[in-house]
Amino acid sequence: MPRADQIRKLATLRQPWIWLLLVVTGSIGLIAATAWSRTDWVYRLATVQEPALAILFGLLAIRIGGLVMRALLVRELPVIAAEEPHLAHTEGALGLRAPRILTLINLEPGSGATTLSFNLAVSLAVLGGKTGSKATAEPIRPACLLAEGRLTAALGLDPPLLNDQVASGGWQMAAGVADLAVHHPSGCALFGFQPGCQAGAAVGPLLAELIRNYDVVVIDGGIAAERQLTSLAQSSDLVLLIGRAAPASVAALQRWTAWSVGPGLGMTYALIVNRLRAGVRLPLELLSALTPLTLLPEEPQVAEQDMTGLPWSLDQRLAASRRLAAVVRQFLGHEGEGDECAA
Amino acid sequence: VPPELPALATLVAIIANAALALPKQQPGSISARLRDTTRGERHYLFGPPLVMGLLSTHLGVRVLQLLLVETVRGWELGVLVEPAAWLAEFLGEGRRREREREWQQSKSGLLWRYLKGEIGEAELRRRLHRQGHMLPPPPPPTATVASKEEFSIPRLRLDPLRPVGMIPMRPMEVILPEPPAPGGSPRQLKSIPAVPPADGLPVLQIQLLGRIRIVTGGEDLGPQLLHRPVQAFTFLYPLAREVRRPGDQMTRADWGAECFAGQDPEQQRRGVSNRLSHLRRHAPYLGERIISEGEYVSFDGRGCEIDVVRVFEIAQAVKQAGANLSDEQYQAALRAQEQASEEFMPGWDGIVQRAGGGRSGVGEVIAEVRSQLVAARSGILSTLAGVALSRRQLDEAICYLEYAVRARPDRGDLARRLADAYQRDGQLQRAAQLRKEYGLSEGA
Repeated sequence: MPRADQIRKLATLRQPWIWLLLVVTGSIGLIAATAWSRTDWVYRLATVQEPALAILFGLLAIRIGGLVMRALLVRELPVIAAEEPHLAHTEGALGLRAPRILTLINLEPGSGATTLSFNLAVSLAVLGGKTGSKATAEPIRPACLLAEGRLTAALGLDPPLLNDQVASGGWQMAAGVADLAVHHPSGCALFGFQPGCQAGAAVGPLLAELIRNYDVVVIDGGIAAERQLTSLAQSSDLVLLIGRAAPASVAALQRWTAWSVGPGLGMTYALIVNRLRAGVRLPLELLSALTPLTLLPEEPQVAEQDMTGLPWSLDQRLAASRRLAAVVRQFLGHEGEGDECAA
Repeated sequence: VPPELPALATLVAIIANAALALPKQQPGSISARLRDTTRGERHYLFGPPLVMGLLSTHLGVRVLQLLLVETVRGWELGVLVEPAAWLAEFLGEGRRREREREWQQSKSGLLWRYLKGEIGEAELRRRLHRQGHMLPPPPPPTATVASKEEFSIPRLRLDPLRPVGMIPMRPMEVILPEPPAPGGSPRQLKSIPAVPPADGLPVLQIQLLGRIRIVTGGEDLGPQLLHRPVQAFTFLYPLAREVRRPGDQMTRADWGAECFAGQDPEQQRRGVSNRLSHLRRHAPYLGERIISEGEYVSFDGRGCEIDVVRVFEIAQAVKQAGANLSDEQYQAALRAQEQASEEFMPGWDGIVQRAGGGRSGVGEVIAEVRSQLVAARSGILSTLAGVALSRRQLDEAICYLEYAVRARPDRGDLARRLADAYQRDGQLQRAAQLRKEYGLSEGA
């Protein structure tokens, strides 16, 4: 009896005898089915139906032969928790290169702007220094402003510290703001901020200070109160609207698009649909309002890693991570370079 | 045989053929799914088989198992698509494994492994450097700035430093261990000898370089402490004084005057008492480390493993050993100099500010420790350079000396040794330039 490791050794379709075996098994099945269909009982029963029966038996033979092949080529099937969604490659074109201030805004609560901000900043830091297969000497230094929550706690950020600094400093904010950053090993600087507080009004000076110290600033829109979101968006080079395949996101997106076509609002924005599950259809209204920049699947590892403060964007085994990396490459003007591994 | 039976059988056979052969689940998306599955973008064409488990090693049993497992999938996909799905899934799995292997060696993969604790920082830097990547340098420690202001010496014009990864060093072990798994015992590091537990006090592992971590019983109390700046200040200020000068004591009056300037002495004393009792109530493990003996307050360092203290100890040991470093001491020195390059108590100014401020005396304590660290690192680097020179490893010696001169630009003796090393290495122009900047003569 073959051992499991011996069986796994067979698991390669590059061996020609496997293909030969497949063809022989199928042929024998077809011949047997045809011969069987010529026996008296079946022949009397189905004189004129012989081709249909032969095809039926042939199909059954293919199925059985296929199962035998599957059994021969057995391997350790990867275990996944649930069916993966089928995500079309709908990457919209972004008419903007190298945005310096990026704001991610939730279209509905829980869409994932905070985790996406953090992971986008990490991805920018990691991929930023690369152009093709050559590494530049100067990596991109992103800063990321995160709303206080579980992720900031997991990352060890101290949002009240920055709030106090911002609230007390105003436009005279000292250059010491950059000293409050928690430096992530990927190279991005992390700041925590308490959402909806009075200091939110002083985000403008804070941005000016950050952009002076860093190459890119990624902002989680959750740091601003509802009424401050529009001014925050206008301060940004690019607004990424984070939505889900749900009616609430559709309504919010329609409000944003209606607002952004107003006079004097030259805002550049794009849509990311996050946490897509298998079997859930994208609302047509969402697609008709804005072509999504990317679609990100719901993956259990993402939530687990957010709890521990690990940036899932580094884990290229995840589909969400690969798709986010494609977006980052688009920001950096590295499209078509393939993933980092391939590069 | 009834005459209608053949026609009926035909009909049944045709329906059965169609039912078996045609895909029944989202047929329009099958070609795109096959493409994605083959590329390894998804694991299965649709969902995974209903039963996942161990398959028998016996072929016949395995076929039966698969028959059961795959029946629903086979029905959904159709007999013709199912083998294509299997093939795509098989090829996709191979592609995924190949991609994972490449990812593990990429910058993302290395960072991921570092964050998961699978490789150390030195290993990460070494591998990234080999691939042409650079880790961002740590933020410049405040002490460096202070010492530069303090030492009025000519400005150096050295070439950019080579990254630490170029210094041939073995993987560095972090002094403070990661919190152990629940129920497990804390991992004892080789780099630090076991600290005898103090009577009735739990062992505290304190990291003050690079970031602030206070680990006891496998739990890091640092984040919670730093979230409360007043408590953080109450704990860290005596600790910093203990690090600066072991056994240091301060009076309540001094502390009160530092933290509650402008108030009357009674209010100052009450403020100090309130802070101490607040810390003992909310963070008892930390509060019991602050000893209050009448007028005097100090930090009880018994049973504490403090990284910066360890660095000072190594610096002292290395200084005494000189060029006769044992292999163990050499490795410890390498680790210590790398740790000493990290900032001491990062974020301290923010804590002081949020805790209600402190006068210059508070900042002086921290600045003094940071200066001590700079001196310790410079001493270690100098000794390492001596070891490298005795082994005729000029390249390494130059690297160490460059770091040492950067750390202590006031040390003319280091500059002289660096100039000599340049000279011996044939870098005459650099040697001359350095001598000119420091006003050194060639034979001196």
